[in-house]
Amino acid sequence: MSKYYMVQDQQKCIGCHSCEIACKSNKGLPAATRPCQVIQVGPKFFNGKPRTSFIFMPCFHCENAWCVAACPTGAMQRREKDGIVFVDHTLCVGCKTCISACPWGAPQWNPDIGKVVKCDYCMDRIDQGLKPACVTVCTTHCLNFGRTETRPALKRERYARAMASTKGAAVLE
Amino acid sequence: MPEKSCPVSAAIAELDDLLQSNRLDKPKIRRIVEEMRLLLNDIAWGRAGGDHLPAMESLVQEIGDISSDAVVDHVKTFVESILQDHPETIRSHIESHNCPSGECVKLAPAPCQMTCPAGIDIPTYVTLIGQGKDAEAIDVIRKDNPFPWVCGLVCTRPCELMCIRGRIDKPVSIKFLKAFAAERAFSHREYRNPPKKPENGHKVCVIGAGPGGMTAAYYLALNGYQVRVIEALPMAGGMMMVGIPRYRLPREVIDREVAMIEDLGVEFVFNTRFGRDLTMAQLKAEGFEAFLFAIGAHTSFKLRIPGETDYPQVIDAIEFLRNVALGDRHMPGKKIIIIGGGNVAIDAARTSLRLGCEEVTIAYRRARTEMPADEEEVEQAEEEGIHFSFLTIPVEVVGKEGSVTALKCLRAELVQREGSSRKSPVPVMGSDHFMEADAVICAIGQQVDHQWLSELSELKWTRRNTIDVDMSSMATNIEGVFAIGDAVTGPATVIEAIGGGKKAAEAVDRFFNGIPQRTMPPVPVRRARVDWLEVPASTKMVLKRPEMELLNIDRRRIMFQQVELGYSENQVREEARRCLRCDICRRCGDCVKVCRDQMKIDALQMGYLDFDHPVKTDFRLTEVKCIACGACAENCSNNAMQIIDRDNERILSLCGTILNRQKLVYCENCGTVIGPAKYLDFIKKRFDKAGQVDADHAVCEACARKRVVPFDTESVPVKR
Amino acid sequence: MVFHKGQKVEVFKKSDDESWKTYMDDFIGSHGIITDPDSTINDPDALIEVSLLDKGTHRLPQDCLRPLD
Repeated sequence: MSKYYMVQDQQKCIGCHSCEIACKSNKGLPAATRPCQVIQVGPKFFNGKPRTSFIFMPCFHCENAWCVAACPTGAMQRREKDGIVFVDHTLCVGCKTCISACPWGAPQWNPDIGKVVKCDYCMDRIDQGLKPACVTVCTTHCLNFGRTETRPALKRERYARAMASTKGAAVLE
Repeated sequence: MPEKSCPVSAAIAELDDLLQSNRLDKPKIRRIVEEMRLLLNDIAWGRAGGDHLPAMESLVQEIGDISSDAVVDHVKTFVESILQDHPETIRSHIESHNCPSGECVKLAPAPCQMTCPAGIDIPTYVTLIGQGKDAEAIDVIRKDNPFPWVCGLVCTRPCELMCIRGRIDKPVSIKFLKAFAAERAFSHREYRNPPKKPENGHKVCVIGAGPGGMTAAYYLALNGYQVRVIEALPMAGGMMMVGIPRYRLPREVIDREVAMIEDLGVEFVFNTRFGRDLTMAQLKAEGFEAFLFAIGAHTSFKLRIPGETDYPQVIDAIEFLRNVALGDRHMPGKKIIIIGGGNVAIDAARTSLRLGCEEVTIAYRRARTEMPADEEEVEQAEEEGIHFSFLTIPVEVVGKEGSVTALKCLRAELVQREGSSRKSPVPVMGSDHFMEADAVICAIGQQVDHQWLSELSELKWTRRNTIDVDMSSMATNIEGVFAIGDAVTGPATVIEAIGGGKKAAEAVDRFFNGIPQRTMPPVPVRRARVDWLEVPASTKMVLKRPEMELLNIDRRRIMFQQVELGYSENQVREEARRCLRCDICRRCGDCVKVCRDQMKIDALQMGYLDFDHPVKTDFRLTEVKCIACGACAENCSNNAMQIIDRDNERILSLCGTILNRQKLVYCENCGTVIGPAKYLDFIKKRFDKAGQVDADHAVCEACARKRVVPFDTESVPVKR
Repeated sequence: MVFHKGQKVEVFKKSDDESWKTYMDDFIGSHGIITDPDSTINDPDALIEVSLLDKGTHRLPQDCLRPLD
């Protein structure tokens, strides 16, 4: 895994897809190319009420990334200093093997340039001290990004709060 | 398609769109846009000069003066912005003949078209013939050459020498396909003239009804000029008619194509020699403003040996061939000797044979390998029984009572002279001998006869005794006087004369419209980009260029019947499928490099791509290693290499040659294509190397993403 | 120098011949094929037709040409 975390507080996400738009416009991508994607699950019924969740799917920047193994040209690489998995467009020839290899569907095809594009946490922005494009536009601030060591214990805190509340305990069962 | 980055080609595309649309409804605007298009084209091809930008600017000005409407404003602002926003790029096109984005080169014609002196769009017409569209093919050819049938039979076919297919096996039979299509089009009454522009009131006089002169007349007439062609002989055709013998080019072929030109309103005046029967002053008085000299090279060189002028049986080949063509079919003698080693010597020999001469010998001063005549011609002559006497130098024509009896000759040996890479024939002392003959024909070259041009006293000539012209525009040093064909090049080819005629017609048009002339000869124009013919790799490799069937040898020795019998329809259609469509594949080799160096698959064996060091090519070998990843297609800048999914297969093709077909595998989940098994295996193998296991997921990327998304209970909104 | 049809050649220098025009300077270094030598008498002084890669077909004096391999 990379030295960063990217977490989505799914309870806050309202599925506005701003993150996708920001990502595309930052990278200049056509409609069907989605380095990150908010996937709608549901609606399903819970306690007789419909519930939908919106799940943010970027690249997970795997430690032993299959896309990197699959790439015959060395275009798909892990950045030494922080573990970001990215495509070097000067080396990518568009064979799409990484797309077929990835179990998460992270590498995406950009038909405009005939090359693969994927989430690289906007490493050019990171290097300038900025946050990834998706994070900066998140309306509900449900996307959080930072270095792993500073990751907030969001889930733990929420669990603790839920345990403390009698109503919440029932929900979490 | 990504947006065009070169302003010049973007402007050309825009103007083309405009010209093709109905938006240019005012003739004046149309004319201005057409002229702009012409100038931009020169700029794109690096043959523009210093006058081009000012001319563009004055056209913009001119269009600005027209009462404004939507189209006028659009053209004006568009062209103005192109000129103002990209001065550097445009100057680079003009001054260093360089298109920085390479965009202008993408329109590059195929090598065959580049080679053709007339610039015919060969890949397009060959493909149309392959589709059975003969008349359309002829329409395409006649955009650059009004004589497809003649050229289909007698062209020296420089295109075939450059044909890329020739690097694999043999060149495509480009020449003959034309003749087939022309014959078909005539026979089906579909050989037609393109629409003519309205008359513009200018009169042009063409002197000489040969291929060059008539080509110029054709394009000038199409452009609205009133054209008169003056010819000294009693019929049209020039050297095609009186130089090329009928067994190579039947008269009807010339007649029919000339009739098409006549149909455009071109006026022919026969039996009229310029300089003898009429003068420039007379023509000018009649209102002719431009003159095009296409007088050919009809005067033979003399041997300058004793006896040459003493006997009527010593004739020159050009005169002999002319007389025969005009109907004087008497044999010059029973036993004749032809002196020379070129195509004219062969033509004279084979003609003599057909007139009934019993023994025909060609005497040539050098060895067989140095004969300048075409090999095929020499072979056919030998088959017919022509004798050759090499290393033979004639020294005297000998006769008795006013008739030739023999030719006195010396034997020669070839000696390397100092400072010359070529061996010269040197007579062997004491080798003189007599070759019995009752007629001698000299075929040692022709030159331009300039005695009739004395009226044009200031006309500049070259030291080679040809009319001096600027080869970019065929303009002579006299304003409004142009010259083309053999009169300019010395004895050359039909197709070169045609190319010159077309060039001159355009130059005349520029002359009348005040458009600057080119500074470089024109680059051929692509006429279309027709779809390729789909051919499996095995067929592409196996198809062989058909052998030309010849008339039986006995008939060939006695009749002027056409020797080459042509191909069958099936042979023609199949032959068209051998074309590699080099108008689309530009042979940059990027596909090969990507596959070999980056993908490390090395499936493409296409050695023909290299002119200097062609190595083996076999399209059939692609499928052995190819995994159908499509990287080659992705990196093909001209969409020649394509990968498509069709009927459960992934198909890789190069200009329609199917290199690989693989059965497709579909997403288990949604049925989307995820690629052929061989491709998926390639990926799996790479995991094995990386120590990965179980990459056996036959789902598409979208489903992969969705499949791994759990319905996370945490995300369910908490009940308030 | 006398060339034959189909021979591969290089334009290796400028010619001093009067037929050499400035636009031909662009041809120097180009490779091509002889498409029409002087087919009558093999005159070393004749202009011959050469087709140059990507540069079209032109009549050139023979002293600027040399055979390739």
